[in-house]
Amino acid sequence: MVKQKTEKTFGASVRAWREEKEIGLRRFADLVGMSPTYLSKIERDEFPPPGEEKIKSIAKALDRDADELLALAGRVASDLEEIIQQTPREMATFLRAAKGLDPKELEDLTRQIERKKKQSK
Amino acid sequence: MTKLVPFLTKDYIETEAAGLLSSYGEKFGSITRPPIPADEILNTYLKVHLDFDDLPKLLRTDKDVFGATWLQRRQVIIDESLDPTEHPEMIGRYNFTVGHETGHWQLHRIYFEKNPNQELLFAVDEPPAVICRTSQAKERIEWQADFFSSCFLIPKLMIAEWCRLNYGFDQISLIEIKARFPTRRYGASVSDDFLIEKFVKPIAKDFAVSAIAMRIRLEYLGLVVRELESRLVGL
Repeated sequence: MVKQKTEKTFGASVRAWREEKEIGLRRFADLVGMSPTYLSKIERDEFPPPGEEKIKSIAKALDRDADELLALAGRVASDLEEIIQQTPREMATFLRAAKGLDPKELEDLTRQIERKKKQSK
Repeated sequence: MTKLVPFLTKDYIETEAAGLLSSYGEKFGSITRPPIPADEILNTYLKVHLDFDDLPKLLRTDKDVFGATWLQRRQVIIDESLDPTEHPEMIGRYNFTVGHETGHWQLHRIYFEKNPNQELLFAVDEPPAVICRTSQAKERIEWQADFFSSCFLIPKLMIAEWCRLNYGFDQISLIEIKARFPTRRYGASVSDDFLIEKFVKPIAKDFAVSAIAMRIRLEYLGLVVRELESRLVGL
Protein backbone atom coordinates (compact mmCIF):
# COMPACT_ATOMS: atom_id res chain seq x y z
CA MET A 1 0.00 0.00 0.00
CA VAL A 2 1.37 3.40 -0.96
CA LYS A 3 1.22 5.73 2.02
CA GLN A 4 -0.55 9.04 1.58
CA LYS A 5 1.77 12.05 1.82
CA THR A 6 -0.25 13.44 4.70
CA GLU A 7 0.29 10.28 6.76
CA LYS A 8 3.16 10.54 9.20
CA THR A 9 5.90 8.11 8.33
CA PHE A 10 7.86 5.96 10.75
CA GLY A 11 10.95 8.18 10.51
CA ALA A 12 9.10 11.48 10.84
CA SER A 13 7.18 10.16 13.86
CA VAL A 14 10.34 9.01 15.61
CA ARG A 15 11.97 12.39 14.96
CA ALA A 16 8.95 14.33 16.20
CA TRP A 17 8.63 12.24 19.38
CA ARG A 18 12.38 12.32 20.06
CA GLU A 19 12.52 16.09 19.67
CA GLU A 20 9.41 16.46 21.79
CA LYS A 21 11.25 14.60 24.56
CA GLU A 22 14.25 16.90 24.00
CA ILE A 23 16.77 14.15 23.34
CA GLY A 24 19.51 15.00 20.84
CA LEU A 25 20.13 12.77 17.82
CA ARG A 26 23.47 11.42 19.00
CA ARG A 27 22.33 10.81 22.57
CA PHE A 28 19.23 8.99 21.33
CA ALA A 29 21.27 6.91 18.86
CA ASP A 30 23.46 5.92 21.78
CA LEU A 31 20.42 5.03 23.90
CA VAL A 32 19.05 2.66 21.28
CA GLY A 33 22.42 1.32 20.12
CA MET A 34 22.60 2.79 16.62
CA SER A 35 25.01 5.05 14.81
CA PRO A 36 23.77 8.67 14.56
CA THR A 37 24.20 8.57 10.76
CA TYR A 38 21.94 5.51 10.48
CA LEU A 39 19.33 7.02 12.81
CA SER A 40 19.43 10.33 10.94
CA LYS A 41 18.69 8.54 7.67
CA ILE A 42 15.91 6.47 9.23
CA GLU A 43 14.31 9.61 10.68
CA ARG A 44 14.37 11.22 7.23
CA ASP A 45 12.95 8.02 5.70
CA GLU A 46 16.01 7.67 3.52
CA PHE A 47 16.50 4.22 5.05
CA PRO A 48 13.66 1.79 5.84
CA PRO A 49 12.72 1.23 9.50
CA PRO A 50 15.11 -1.04 11.41
CA GLY A 51 14.37 -4.56 12.69
CA GLU A 52 11.71 -5.41 15.26
CA GLU A 53 14.04 -5.47 18.27
CA LYS A 54 15.43 -2.02 17.41
CA ILE A 55 11.92 -0.67 16.92
CA LYS A 56 11.03 -1.99 20.38
CA SER A 57 14.11 -0.26 21.85
CA ILE A 58 13.10 2.98 20.12
CA ALA A 59 9.54 2.68 21.45
CA LYS A 60 10.84 2.08 24.98
CA ALA A 61 13.20 5.06 24.84
CA LEU A 62 10.34 7.26 23.59
CA ASP A 63 7.74 5.88 26.06
CA ARG A 64 5.61 4.80 23.11
CA ASP A 65 3.72 1.64 22.41
CA ALA A 66 5.89 -0.79 20.46
CA ASP A 67 2.93 -2.11 18.44
CA GLU A 68 2.05 1.43 17.38
CA LEU A 69 5.60 1.98 16.16
CA LEU A 70 5.73 -1.42 14.46
CA ALA A 71 2.49 -0.60 12.66
CA LEU A 72 4.05 2.66 11.43
CA ALA A 73 6.89 0.55 10.10
CA GLY A 74 4.34 -1.59 8.26
CA ARG A 75 4.91 -4.63 10.50
CA VAL A 76 3.27 -6.62 13.25
CA ALA A 77 5.14 -7.97 16.25
CA SER A 78 6.52 -11.48 15.76
CA ASP A 79 4.61 -12.77 18.82
CA LEU A 80 1.33 -11.80 17.09
CA GLU A 81 2.30 -13.81 14.04
CA GLU A 82 2.92 -16.81 16.32
CA ILE A 83 -0.45 -16.36 18.04
CA ILE A 84 -2.24 -16.36 14.69
CA GLN A 85 -0.25 -19.37 13.52
CA GLN A 86 -1.36 -21.39 16.58
CA THR A 87 -5.09 -21.17 15.71
CA PRO A 88 -5.15 -19.55 12.28
CA ARG A 89 -8.77 -20.17 11.36
CA GLU A 90 -10.29 -19.04 14.67
CA MET A 91 -7.97 -16.07 15.03
CA ALA A 92 -8.63 -14.90 11.49
CA THR A 93 -12.38 -15.18 12.09
CA PHE A 94 -12.06 -13.35 15.38
CA LEU A 95 -10.01 -10.52 13.89
CA ARG A 96 -12.39 -10.15 10.95
CA ALA A 97 -15.28 -10.02 13.39
CA ALA A 98 -13.52 -7.39 15.48
CA LYS A 99 -12.72 -5.29 12.41
CA GLY A 100 -14.60 -2.01 12.42
CA LEU A 101 -14.82 -1.66 16.20
CA ASP A 102 -13.49 1.63 17.50
CA PRO A 103 -10.58 1.72 20.02
CA LYS A 104 -12.95 2.08 22.99
CA GLU A 105 -15.01 -0.94 21.90
CA LEU A 106 -11.83 -2.94 21.35
CA GLU A 107 -10.65 -2.04 24.86
CA ASP A 108 -13.98 -3.21 26.34
CA LEU A 109 -13.72 -6.45 24.39
CA THR A 110 -10.16 -6.98 25.60
CA ARG A 111 -11.29 -6.53 29.21
CA GLN A 112 -14.09 -9.04 28.71
CA ILE A 113 -11.61 -11.55 27.29
CA GLU A 114 -9.24 -11.00 30.20
CA ARG A 115 -12.09 -11.54 32.71
CA LYS A 116 -13.11 -14.70 30.90
CA LYS A 117 -9.55 -16.02 30.98
CA LYS A 118 -9.32 -15.27 34.71
CA GLN A 119 -12.57 -17.10 35.47
CA SER A 120 -11.55 -20.17 33.51
CA LYS A 121 -8.25 -20.49 35.44
CA MET B 1 28.45 35.99 1.57
CA THR B 2 30.78 38.05 3.76
CA LYS B 3 29.14 41.25 2.49
CA LEU B 4 25.95 40.24 4.25
CA VAL B 5 27.48 40.18 7.71
CA PRO B 6 29.05 43.10 9.56
CA PHE B 7 32.30 43.14 11.47
CA LEU B 8 31.72 41.62 14.92
CA THR B 9 34.18 42.10 17.75
CA LYS B 10 35.73 39.11 19.48
CA ASP B 11 34.17 40.25 22.76
CA TYR B 12 30.74 40.30 21.15
CA ILE B 13 31.16 36.76 19.82
CA GLU B 14 32.54 35.57 23.18
CA THR B 15 29.51 37.05 24.96
CA GLU B 16 27.10 35.45 22.48
CA ALA B 17 28.66 32.01 23.02
CA ALA B 18 28.63 32.42 26.82
CA GLY B 19 25.03 33.65 26.64
CA LEU B 20 23.93 30.56 24.74
CA LEU B 21 25.62 28.26 27.28
CA SER B 22 24.02 30.15 30.11
CA SER B 23 20.52 30.01 28.56
CA TYR B 24 20.93 26.29 27.92
CA GLY B 25 22.04 25.89 31.55
CA GLU B 26 18.94 27.68 32.81
CA LYS B 27 16.71 25.21 31.02
CA PHE B 28 18.63 21.93 31.23
CA GLY B 29 20.99 22.53 34.16
CA SER B 30 24.35 24.27 34.21
CA ILE B 31 27.25 22.69 32.40
CA THR B 32 29.83 22.47 35.13
CA ARG B 33 32.47 20.37 33.39
CA PRO B 34 33.66 19.64 29.89
CA PRO B 35 32.94 18.54 27.24
CA ILE B 36 30.26 20.98 26.11
CA PRO B 37 27.34 19.01 24.60
CA ALA B 38 27.38 21.11 21.44
CA ASP B 39 25.10 18.91 19.35
CA GLU B 40 22.62 18.53 22.20
CA ILE B 41 22.43 22.33 22.56
CA LEU B 42 21.90 22.85 18.83
CA ASN B 43 19.36 20.06 18.54
CA THR B 44 17.35 20.31 21.76
CA TYR B 45 17.75 23.91 22.93
CA LEU B 46 17.94 25.80 19.63
CA LYS B 47 15.52 23.29 18.07
CA VAL B 48 17.58 22.89 14.93
CA HIS B 49 17.35 19.47 13.26
CA LEU B 50 20.77 17.86 13.24
CA ASP B 51 21.56 15.27 10.59
CA PHE B 52 24.40 13.32 9.07
CA ASP B 53 24.78 12.73 5.36
CA ASP B 54 27.26 12.44 2.55
CA LEU B 55 27.45 16.22 2.08
CA PRO B 56 29.60 16.41 -1.05
CA LYS B 57 27.20 14.00 -2.75
CA LEU B 58 24.13 15.78 -1.40
CA LEU B 59 25.36 19.19 -2.54
CA ARG B 60 27.02 17.87 -5.69
CA THR B 61 30.10 19.79 -4.80
CA ASP B 62 33.72 19.57 -3.65
CA LYS B 63 34.88 16.98 -1.17
CA ASP B 64 35.92 19.37 1.58
CA VAL B 65 32.42 20.22 2.86
CA PHE B 66 31.92 19.31 6.51
CA GLY B 67 28.79 21.18 7.50
CA ALA B 68 25.85 23.02 5.95
CA THR B 69 22.98 25.02 7.41
CA TRP B 70 19.50 25.34 5.97
CA LEU B 71 17.83 28.27 7.70
CA GLN B 72 14.27 27.88 6.48
CA ARG B 73 13.93 24.22 7.41
CA ARG B 74 16.02 24.70 10.58
CA GLN B 75 18.48 22.00 9.65
CA VAL B 76 22.21 21.47 10.02
CA ILE B 77 23.78 18.56 8.18
CA ILE B 78 27.21 17.32 9.18
CA ASP B 79 29.22 15.19 6.80
CA GLU B 80 28.97 11.56 7.84
CA SER B 81 32.76 11.20 7.75
CA LEU B 82 32.70 13.14 11.05
CA ASP B 83 30.16 10.88 12.81
CA PRO B 84 31.98 10.38 16.13
CA THR B 85 30.26 7.08 16.87
CA GLU B 86 31.52 5.53 13.66
CA HIS B 87 34.77 7.51 13.65
CA PRO B 88 35.72 8.26 17.29
CA GLU B 89 38.96 9.89 16.17
CA MET B 90 36.87 12.64 14.51
CA ILE B 91 35.19 13.82 17.74
CA GLY B 92 37.22 17.06 17.84
CA ARG B 93 36.47 17.98 14.27
CA TYR B 94 32.83 16.96 14.69
CA ASN B 95 32.36 19.18 17.73
CA PHE B 96 34.14 22.07 16.07
CA THR B 97 31.93 21.76 12.99
CA VAL B 98 28.77 21.63 15.13
CA GLY B 99 30.04 24.67 17.06
CA HIS B 100 30.78 26.42 13.78
CA GLU B 101 27.28 25.80 12.38
CA THR B 102 25.83 26.89 15.74
CA GLY B 103 27.85 30.07 15.27
CA HIS B 104 26.22 30.68 11.89
CA TRP B 105 22.84 30.05 13.46
CA GLN B 106 23.38 32.43 16.35
CA LEU B 107 25.43 35.16 14.69
CA HIS B 108 24.40 35.22 11.05
CA ARG B 109 20.84 33.98 10.74
CA ILE B 110 19.48 37.46 11.31
CA TYR B 111 21.45 38.95 8.40
CA PHE B 112 20.21 36.34 5.96
CA GLU B 113 16.65 36.83 7.12
CA LYS B 114 17.03 40.60 6.67
CA ASN B 115 18.57 40.26 3.25
CA PRO B 116 16.05 41.44 0.63
CA ASN B 117 17.40 38.80 -1.76
CA GLN B 118 16.86 36.07 0.76
CA GLU B 119 14.57 34.15 -1.58
CA LEU B 120 17.65 33.42 -3.66
CA LEU B 121 18.95 31.45 -0.75
CA PHE B 122 15.83 29.37 -0.63
CA ALA B 123 15.33 28.44 -4.23
CA VAL B 124 13.26 25.47 -5.38
CA ASP B 125 16.01 22.97 -4.72
CA GLU B 126 16.70 24.66 -1.39
CA PRO B 127 20.44 25.13 -1.38
CA PRO B 128 21.75 25.58 2.14
CA ALA B 129 22.17 29.16 3.28
CA VAL B 130 25.64 28.47 4.58
CA ILE B 131 28.00 25.81 3.27
CA CYS B 132 31.23 25.37 5.17
CA ARG B 133 34.31 24.23 3.36
CA THR B 134 37.86 24.19 4.59
CA SER B 135 38.86 26.44 1.68
CA GLN B 136 36.40 29.12 2.84
CA ALA B 137 37.96 29.31 6.28
CA LYS B 138 39.36 32.80 5.76
CA GLU B 139 36.11 34.55 4.83
CA ARG B 140 34.81 36.89 7.52
CA ILE B 141 31.60 34.93 8.03
CA GLU B 142 33.58 31.71 8.37
CA TRP B 143 36.14 33.26 10.70
CA GLN B 144 33.36 34.52 12.97
CA ALA B 145 31.73 31.06 13.07
CA ASP B 146 35.12 29.50 13.84
CA PHE B 147 35.75 31.94 16.67
CA PHE B 148 32.24 31.34 18.04
CA SER B 149 32.90 27.61 17.98
CA SER B 150 36.11 28.08 19.92
CA CYS B 151 34.39 30.23 22.60
CA PHE B 152 31.42 27.86 22.74
CA LEU B 153 33.36 24.60 23.10
CA ILE B 154 36.07 26.03 25.35
CA PRO B 155 34.33 28.57 27.59
CA LYS B 156 36.67 31.20 29.02
CA LEU B 157 35.90 30.72 32.72
CA MET B 158 35.58 26.94 32.54
CA ILE B 159 38.94 26.44 30.82
CA ALA B 160 40.78 28.77 33.21
CA GLU B 161 39.43 26.91 36.21
CA TRP B 162 39.96 23.50 34.61
CA CYS B 163 43.64 24.23 33.88
CA ARG B 164 44.19 25.53 37.42
CA LEU B 165 42.43 22.66 39.20
CA ASN B 166 43.44 19.76 36.99
CA TYR B 167 46.72 20.78 35.39
CA GLY B 168 48.11 23.12 38.03
CA PHE B 169 48.61 26.31 36.05
CA ASP B 170 47.04 29.73 35.67
CA GLN B 171 49.42 30.56 32.86
CA ILE B 172 52.25 28.60 31.34
CA SER B 173 55.07 29.72 29.06
CA LEU B 174 56.64 28.00 26.09
CA ILE B 175 59.89 27.77 28.06
CA GLU B 176 58.12 25.77 30.77
CA ILE B 177 56.45 23.57 28.15
CA LYS B 178 59.83 22.95 26.51
CA ALA B 179 61.19 21.90 29.88
CA ARG B 180 58.46 19.26 30.09
CA PHE B 181 58.88 18.13 26.47
CA PRO B 182 62.59 18.51 25.64
CA THR B 183 62.98 19.40 21.95
CA ARG B 184 65.69 16.79 21.49
CA ARG B 185 63.10 14.08 22.11
CA TYR B 186 61.32 15.05 18.88
CA GLY B 187 64.24 16.26 16.76
CA ALA B 188 65.71 19.72 16.29
CA SER B 189 63.24 20.81 13.61
CA VAL B 190 60.19 20.38 15.83
CA SER B 191 57.98 23.49 15.87
CA ASP B 192 56.75 25.43 18.89
CA ASP B 193 53.16 24.73 17.76
CA PHE B 194 53.88 21.00 17.88
CA LEU B 195 55.24 21.20 21.43
CA ILE B 196 52.33 23.30 22.68
CA GLU B 197 49.86 20.91 21.05
CA LYS B 198 51.66 18.00 22.70
CA PHE B 199 51.25 19.76 26.05
CA VAL B 200 47.57 20.68 25.59
CA LYS B 201 46.52 17.31 24.15
CA PRO B 202 45.07 15.91 27.43
CA ILE B 203 43.19 19.16 28.02
CA ALA B 204 41.88 19.00 24.44
CA LYS B 205 40.70 15.45 25.13
CA ASP B 206 38.78 16.63 28.22
CA PHE B 207 36.97 19.22 26.09
CA ALA B 208 36.58 16.86 23.09
CA VAL B 209 38.29 19.28 20.72
CA SER B 210 41.45 18.97 18.65
CA ALA B 211 44.83 19.87 20.11
CA ILE B 212 45.11 22.64 17.48
CA ALA B 213 41.79 24.18 18.57
CA MET B 214 42.88 23.99 22.21
CA ARG B 215 46.29 25.54 21.50
CA ILE B 216 44.71 28.46 19.63
CA ARG B 217 42.16 29.03 22.41
CA LEU B 218 44.68 28.82 25.28
CA GLU B 219 47.01 31.22 23.49
CA TYR B 220 44.17 33.63 22.76
CA LEU B 221 43.15 33.62 26.43
CA GLY B 222 46.76 34.05 27.55
CA LEU B 223 46.81 30.78 29.45
CA VAL B 224 49.71 29.67 27.25
CA VAL B 225 52.25 32.33 26.32
CA ARG B 226 55.09 32.09 23.83
CA GLU B 227 57.46 34.40 25.67
CA LEU B 228 58.01 34.82 29.36
CA GLU B 229 57.84 38.58 28.85
CA SER B 230 54.26 38.22 27.72
CA ARG B 231 53.34 37.66 31.32
CA LEU B 232 54.59 41.12 32.15
CA VAL B 233 52.75 42.65 29.21
CA GLY B 234 49.59 40.92 30.38
CA LEU B 235 49.93 42.26 33.92
